[in-house]
Amino acid sequence: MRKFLSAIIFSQLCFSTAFTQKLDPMTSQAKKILERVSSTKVPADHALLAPMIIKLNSGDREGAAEIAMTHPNFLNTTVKLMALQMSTREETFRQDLNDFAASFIGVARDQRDARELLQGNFYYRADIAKVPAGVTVRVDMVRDLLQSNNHYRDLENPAVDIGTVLMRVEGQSLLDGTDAVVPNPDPAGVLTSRTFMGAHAVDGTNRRPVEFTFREFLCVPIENWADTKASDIRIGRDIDRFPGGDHAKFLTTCKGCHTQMDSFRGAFAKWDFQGNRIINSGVANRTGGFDGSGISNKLNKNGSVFSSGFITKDDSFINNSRMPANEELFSWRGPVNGNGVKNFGVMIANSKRFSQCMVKRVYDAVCRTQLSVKDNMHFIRQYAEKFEQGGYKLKQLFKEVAVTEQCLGQ
Amino acid sequence: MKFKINFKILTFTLIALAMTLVYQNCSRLSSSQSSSQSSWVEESEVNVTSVPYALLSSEQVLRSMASVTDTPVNGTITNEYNRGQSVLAGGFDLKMVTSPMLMATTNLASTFCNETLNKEIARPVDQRKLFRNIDFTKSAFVLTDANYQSTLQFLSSAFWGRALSENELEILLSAKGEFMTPLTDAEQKQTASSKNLMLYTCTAMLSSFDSISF
Repeated sequence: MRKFLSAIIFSQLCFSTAFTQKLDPMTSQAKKILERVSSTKVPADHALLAPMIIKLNSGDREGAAEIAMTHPNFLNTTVKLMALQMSTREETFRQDLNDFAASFIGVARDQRDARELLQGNFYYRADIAKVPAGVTVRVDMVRDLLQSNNHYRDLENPAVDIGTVLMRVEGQSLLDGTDAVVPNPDPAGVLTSRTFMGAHAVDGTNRRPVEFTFREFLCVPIENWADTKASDIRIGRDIDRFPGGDHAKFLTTCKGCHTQMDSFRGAFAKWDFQGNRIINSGVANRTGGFDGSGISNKLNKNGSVFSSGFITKDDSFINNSRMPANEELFSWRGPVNGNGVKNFGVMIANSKRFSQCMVKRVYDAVCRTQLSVKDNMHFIRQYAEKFEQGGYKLKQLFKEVAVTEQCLGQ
Repeated sequence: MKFKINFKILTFTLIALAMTLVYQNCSRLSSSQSSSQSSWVEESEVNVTSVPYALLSSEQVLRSMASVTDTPVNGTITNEYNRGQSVLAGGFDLKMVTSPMLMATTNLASTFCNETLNKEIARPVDQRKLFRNIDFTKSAFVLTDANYQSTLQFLSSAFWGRALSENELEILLSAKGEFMTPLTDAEQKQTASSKNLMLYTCTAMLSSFDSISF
């Protein structure tokens, strides 16, 4: 009997034509924009809706979005979750705030050039004077910022408005082998953040920082930029050229990814993540794990696998992604070879693909879907160009993308 | 009694979830698919798959419940959130709807509703936002349908940003009957039944699909 009644109820629901007591179109649109931008459901009488409706009635959609961005959860949730997903290998936003995400939030809030995220010498931390009374935020530079995530984890307190308390600090710092705080000799925005290095430069062979820089900031997974036609001269000695005794397998599979990653990984040659901290061989009194030239031993480990392979002797990198297969994909602008992570970051940030990737990231964050870059190049190019012309301001990009007809589903 | 109420809440939530899923799928898909998707391709060459719904992820659920109930996240809520965070949605995809996720959402919603009720009950009637038409000094049996319905409208406006549909109202009234019927004579006289009924109703609405999607 119950099942019968349920079936009747559901069938009535399905075939009824007047279900929703709809809001008027402008209120509905304002609410949708506000919820998308803030990642938060809001009541119909939310204070920001009235001024947004006025903007919408005058045809000023971006103005409405700008008001929506004053909602604290724009920075505290939307931008934070977008950044958290990009910060670690797991690509999840089920994690605490970290230095990577804090910098992302800060750059968006302060309307800085987003390319700074890959090349700037700065970081964001809490201005303790702005932290509400009664909230404990650990602030020891060594213990809570450079050796752990304590400082940022403490900011994940419901009483803390992260977007407000963050302050920009010029000059990144590292620890030397005696736990002294020293300037970072090769700062590159979030690429040299503790979170990014901890996720990608720990163990391994420092190919992962390259792979994930491309993955997160150029929106290209390694399989999509592998190129077997590029030169293998930079491929390390630890890569077997005869896997299973079959050289053809190397040529058709392994080589494609390694021509790319190995050509860039020299940029990270002086970097490592040991225990709980970043290590750079450029700082005095560094700990072990590097050769006499300051090159991390892991760059040249397993040298007997293919002893004729490339030996890393400095932190130079070359760009093997300029062959026909990848040239159009990335559209590099500016220097494509260099030394160290900063130069690497500059190269990435100045590619056309970086702007396009930011459009995708923002679209995904506010429009609740996964925008296929490949299938939507017209749209992505259009907004990437506007992003560049506007000075790479993330907030502006959020504003423009959030009110597109595609995003609003109109 | 506690178990009984929780079971009821869960059952009601599942009905509410199914209700909003079925009903919304019927309305919005039919109205948006034909016009918008094709025009996207023509006008902007955007091939985004139309997603009429996306789940709120775990933190978004937390922030949203705080926003629509106007109840700040306190220690009790944080504890409940931390208990269920790992099973709340990790992304926007509807495929992430699972039984544990629904239960965690229901538990979180009930915690928010309980805190909201405590807050509102402590206020003078004219300063309440959601439950101004409920007399918590009296049993739920003296609550008039008119007052109950107006409270449903307040909740609907806050949680879903819209008025209740007739069908939703019908189901919620029916659910109220199901809540009241099994109460014993002694329970019927208890003033706590008013708060329990509101907790039951608020939780069902706050954990419904419309509350955890956008």
